[in-house]
Amino acid sequence: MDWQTHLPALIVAFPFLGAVVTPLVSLAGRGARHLWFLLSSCGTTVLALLLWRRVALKGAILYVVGGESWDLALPAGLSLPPRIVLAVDALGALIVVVGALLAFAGTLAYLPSDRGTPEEERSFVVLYLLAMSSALAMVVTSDLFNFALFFGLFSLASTSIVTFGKKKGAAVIAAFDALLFSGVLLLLILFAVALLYGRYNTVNMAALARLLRFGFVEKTVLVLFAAALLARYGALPFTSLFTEFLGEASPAAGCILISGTLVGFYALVRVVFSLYGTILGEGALGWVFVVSGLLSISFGLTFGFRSRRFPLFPGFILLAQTGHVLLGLGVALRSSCHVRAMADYGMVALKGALSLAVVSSLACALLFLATAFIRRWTSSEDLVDVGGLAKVLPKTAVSFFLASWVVAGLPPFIGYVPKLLLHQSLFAFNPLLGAVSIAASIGAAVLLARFFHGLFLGPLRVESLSQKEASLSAVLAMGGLLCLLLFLSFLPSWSLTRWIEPSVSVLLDQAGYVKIVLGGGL
Amino acid sequence: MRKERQVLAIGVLASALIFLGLYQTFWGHLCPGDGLTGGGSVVFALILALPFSGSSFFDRENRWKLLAVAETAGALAFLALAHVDLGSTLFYNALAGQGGLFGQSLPEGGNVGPFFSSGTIALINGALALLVIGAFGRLVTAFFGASSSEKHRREEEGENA
Amino acid sequence: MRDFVVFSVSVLFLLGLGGLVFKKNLLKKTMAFSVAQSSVVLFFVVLGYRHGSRPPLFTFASEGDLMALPSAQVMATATLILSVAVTAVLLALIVLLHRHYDTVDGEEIRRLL
Repeated sequence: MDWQTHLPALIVAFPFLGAVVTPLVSLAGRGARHLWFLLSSCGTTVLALLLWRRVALKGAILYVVGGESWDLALPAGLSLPPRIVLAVDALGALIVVVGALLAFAGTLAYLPSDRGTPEEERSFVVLYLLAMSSALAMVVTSDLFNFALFFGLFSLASTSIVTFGKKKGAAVIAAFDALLFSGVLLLLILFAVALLYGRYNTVNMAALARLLRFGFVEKTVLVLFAAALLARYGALPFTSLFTEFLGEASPAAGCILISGTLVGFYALVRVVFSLYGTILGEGALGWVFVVSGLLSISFGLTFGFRSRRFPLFPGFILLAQTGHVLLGLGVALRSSCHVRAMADYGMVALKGALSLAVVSSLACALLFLATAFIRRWTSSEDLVDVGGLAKVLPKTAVSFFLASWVVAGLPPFIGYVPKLLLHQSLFAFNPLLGAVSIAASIGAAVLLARFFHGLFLGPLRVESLSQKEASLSAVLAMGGLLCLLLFLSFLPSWSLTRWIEPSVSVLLDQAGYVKIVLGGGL
Repeated sequence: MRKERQVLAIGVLASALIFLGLYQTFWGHLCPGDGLTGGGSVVFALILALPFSGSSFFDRENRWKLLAVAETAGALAFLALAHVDLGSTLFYNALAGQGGLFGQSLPEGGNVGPFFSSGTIALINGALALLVIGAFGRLVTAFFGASSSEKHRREEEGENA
Repeated sequence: MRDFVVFSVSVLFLLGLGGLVFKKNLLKKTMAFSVAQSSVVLFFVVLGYRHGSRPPLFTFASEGDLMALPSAQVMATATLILSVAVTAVLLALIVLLHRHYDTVDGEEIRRLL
């Protein structure tokens, strides 16, 4: 057994160690703390990449916490796993990598110079690393109660860090609302877990998938999970708090929030496809996703056009992209019972949804960083008060422009691949849905053009900037995400075949997931 | 006299809570308990005792530092104990049944349960309890400090008015 | 009996949710959240109960009687601690808001923003 066997646990333990040691490192000064923060975050990202590489080479990884052997989930004589099992397949590895990269971008964007007291800065770093640890833990665990605990921890840490360095009441009240709402979502998830535990005497996802029947209790659990996880993903009609909350976040805090929504998406597809899978049949859930998707798109675009507050803009755009993803998921679910439909457009819709979820997280994080930095440097939130910033902030302008291009789904950047897959599959499912999706994409492109024009073109309206050009940390953070998007854009086929298609295959293979978790070590 | 009786009653209650917390922490392998709940019980004792604490050693700054050290020490101990046996998995109970301290075997049949039979479980629970006491204790101290400073601020404003 | 308890738990949860939605006072919202979370804790405890069972302590292991499930109780206590942490942070945010705006009425605070 080599040390990389422990990767699923190290992914969680390493940032947690970073958080725990931060108060000690802080005794050496602010520079030491910032360096430690960067090292912890970078180390976690490296571990995430190693994990993905190992999964790509050797297949899914199992890790039994506290077990005699790392892959023995079912000791002799037991039919249900007694310990917490971490299971990482291709989809889990993809989400872990993207989540870690987003969190690392947030670390690079962190500017301690204009923060509060040393104690506040120390607390910020601790909470950020805790949020990173719990977000990644939510992905790797296959234990539903464990997932719920990390969900709660992530909600706590991520809502707390938004209030740091802020003297405005708007951030605090937004944090209060978000935490209260996350608390309710946590209770819904715990209720669902309790119902499953009461019925089947286990909270392991693979064991439940093997035993699950689709009765009244299971339908109730599905409703609870779907509501909570759709809200976590930021979809309507379950929440519109996220856009407001994201608008108040600092550059670093926003990145971890966006990685949290991606984890919410992962949890949603895991519950729907790996936990319930084939027993769902041709139920209403697919239509629920479609309706939620349409509502999210319309809300995101409508309020995006109405709003003049540019810090809210990335939230609205992300909401619109969430809508597209849900449309794809809904279509994939509706066709999952029909082999022909699945082959014609279901698989394509799922690939489009998954790839759009990943690409839009990265691109919207880049948009968010650009707007958050502009807000900081101009001390303004109104589109009317800023303009012509391309003259003084060319790097920021280029980052925003390219991110917009990706989100709009225009070639030659990577954004067009998922959008093309989605439009094709939606049109094949229902031409009206396809037309709505295409119209929404055009609307998003127009919205992006509006904000780009308002922020960067025209005469320079800002009287003074606190930065002459983007600072080093801003350049590193935005540049890193931009390079990743450009890399994916140059190799769209590679990213589709190496990242997306294996993820879709494991997602649809419920029996395979059960075999990975419960059959290990035999 | 009434205040003394109050302090006595609080002292008895707080002591009982602390013992309960210690029991939950260190016998958590033989009853439903763990470091989280054990630490929580001790913090409840702290909540009871805070308004009556008059000893100079437990003034706010010392208490704050002590709790901060407890939190960090607990978390580091928790992580260190998780890595006791890297030949198997994280949190593997390497000490169970090995004899010596914490490695005694459990006698058959029901019994009180020897304390030193948990292996690493009691130690991990202890570390977790320390972490919870440090973290929640600081939270409670901050609240109490916030409410007392608010009270002093209002009293001062009342005097100046 | 169990149906009655599940019904009570649901009512408690809905009461908590109702308080969250309809109350404007942030402290009352937090208290309503506490009511809702206590319903979840109660639900976990109920799930572990077996009629005529003994407490799940190792002391009673030899007596051959049925024991209540300890894992449900552990999950209940873990939920309790997490909910206490959420409540504590909510209260801390209320203290911050009260310091700035001298009120804990949510609508009043949004009006003053």
